[in-house]
Amino acid sequence: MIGIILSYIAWYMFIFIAVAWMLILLENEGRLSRKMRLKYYPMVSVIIPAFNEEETISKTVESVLSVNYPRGSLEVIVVDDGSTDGTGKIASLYHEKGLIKLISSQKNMGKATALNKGIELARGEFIACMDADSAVEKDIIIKLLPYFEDKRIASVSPALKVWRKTNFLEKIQYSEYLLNIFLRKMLALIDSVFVTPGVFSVYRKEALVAVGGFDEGNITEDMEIAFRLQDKGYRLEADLDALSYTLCPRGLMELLGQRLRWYRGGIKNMIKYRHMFFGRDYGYLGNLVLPVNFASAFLVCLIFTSLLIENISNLANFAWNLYLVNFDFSTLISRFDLWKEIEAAFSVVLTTPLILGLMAITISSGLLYISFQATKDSVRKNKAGYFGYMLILPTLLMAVWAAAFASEILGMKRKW
Amino acid sequence: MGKKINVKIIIAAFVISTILFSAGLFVGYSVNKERLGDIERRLVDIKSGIENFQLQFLFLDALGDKAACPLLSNTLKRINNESYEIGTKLTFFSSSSEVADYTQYNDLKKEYSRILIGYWLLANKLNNACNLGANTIIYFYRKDCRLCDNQAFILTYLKNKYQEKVLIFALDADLDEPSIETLKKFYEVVEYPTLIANSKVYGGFQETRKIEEIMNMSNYST
Repeated sequence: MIGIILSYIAWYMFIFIAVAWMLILLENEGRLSRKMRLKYYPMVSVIIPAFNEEETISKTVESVLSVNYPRGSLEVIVVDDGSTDGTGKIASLYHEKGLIKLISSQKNMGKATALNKGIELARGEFIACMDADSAVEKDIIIKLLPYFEDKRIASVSPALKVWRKTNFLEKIQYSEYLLNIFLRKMLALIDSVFVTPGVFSVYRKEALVAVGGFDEGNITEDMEIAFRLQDKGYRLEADLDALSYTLCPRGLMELLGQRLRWYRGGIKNMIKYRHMFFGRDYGYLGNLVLPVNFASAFLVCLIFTSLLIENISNLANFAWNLYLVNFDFSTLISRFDLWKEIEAAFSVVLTTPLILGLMAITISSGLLYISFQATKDSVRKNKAGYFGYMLILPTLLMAVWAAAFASEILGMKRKW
Repeated sequence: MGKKINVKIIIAAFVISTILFSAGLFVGYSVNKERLGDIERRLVDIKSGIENFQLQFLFLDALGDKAACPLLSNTLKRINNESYEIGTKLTFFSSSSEVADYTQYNDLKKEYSRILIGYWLLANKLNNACNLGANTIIYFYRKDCRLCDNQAFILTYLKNKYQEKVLIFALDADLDEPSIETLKKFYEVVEYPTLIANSKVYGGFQETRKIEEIMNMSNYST
């Protein structure tokens, strides 16, 4: 009974979120496209922290060095964060040619600390944080900078896409990242961006310094800095076609590990910034986006747990039943009416949740389709990823959320 | 400098979502109602099948067992399968708490139980008249009975193992139905589950082997 009530609540929330998004989109449709042009070329520092990235660091640096931007206004800083492979050597080659500045650390300090070290050295008015296994399009800087004309804006995020889509998992993530680009833009429309992806998000240096730089030791420093900037009243923006590319996990275990990290980080950040929930000064972010995010994650865990418990007791009961008939499988399986029973069950059970579920799938397909349109990508070329995403990823992520919640609760150090 | 919010959007979202959600619920309700209607129609079919059956009984007297018995046992088999299917559907309905209209559902269940009892009476009569060697088992259950699930599983298993040799009639003891009450009183049913196997009472949960013994014993005595 509880399971059914929970699922009804979940469907309602899902429909509510989708409807709210559509209304927000309708209200802000005109603001989706960027109509600004760069009026001057401020100094931009690109910081690339690297830990054992010898395979990709070269490509990343080349990509950054080839952007359309005056050489004199561009500064590239590589931070060798205690690499034990050839990263340092490769970076030194570029340094010797005078193309980049290099900070080397013997010990691995973590991405956040590396970024802060880079910020200390940076001379730019604007700082772009880059991953060492990524790439950017040539016009990324001239597409992102115009937003900063509004003095309140502290950060602009690019349209982050997946670089390589060879296997099925990568294709699914490709679709997911497209949806994220679109959702991030929507969040920007209601001033509620809470993640600035660490693959060429551009920050106003003044703002970064004012809020104290990145949170050192935090596993999701790109989310934490967004929360902090929001907390201090800055505005965060996002773009739909300033492209940056990153590699995504190719194997299932790697993917689950990444998502577990993200979600644990998300929970930690939401707890750290819990004062923003329903706060009067925090607009849509505090009163709609964060509460809904938290509630839906919590609900998913509840549903998953109750499903698990119910199924365990069902399985136990079934095992006991088998014992009662002495495990006579041949008789059980030869039942002609087993099929009739399955057919009867199918035709009767779960009609209403099924209908609601179909409604939800339709709505999310629609949203995914709109994202493809908004980011000018093609569904036809990405069919596998589109449908794969619709079915598989949510199920996987549901399991990961439950695990993250559990580990946060179990690992929480209480302060009485 | 706080961030602004447009409350009208949030209110509109709530309103529209509630409308959509209610529409979904309503469609589900309508579909279920249609399904119950379908079950109702099939019960009517069974009823007329049983009336035919009763008519065919008269053939016994007129034509004697050799001619009439094969015909009758065939009809018995058909009714058996049809009622089993409907019973399964009704069971799934109740366990999924999807029931749109409890009154209609309860009425269907009562009708179904009456048909089962009539069928049981005829089956016993036929068993004796034609020496079919079939066992009839009435199975009384109720909602919060711990072992009823397991008992039902065993009975279904036995039904598959012995096919026409065992006929099972499951009656919900909580149903406020006179014919069920009559049987309960007659056999002094006090605990659940209770089996009435070949017109003998066996109170409480019965294991597979015990039931198989009961069935074999009755066969010998016939």
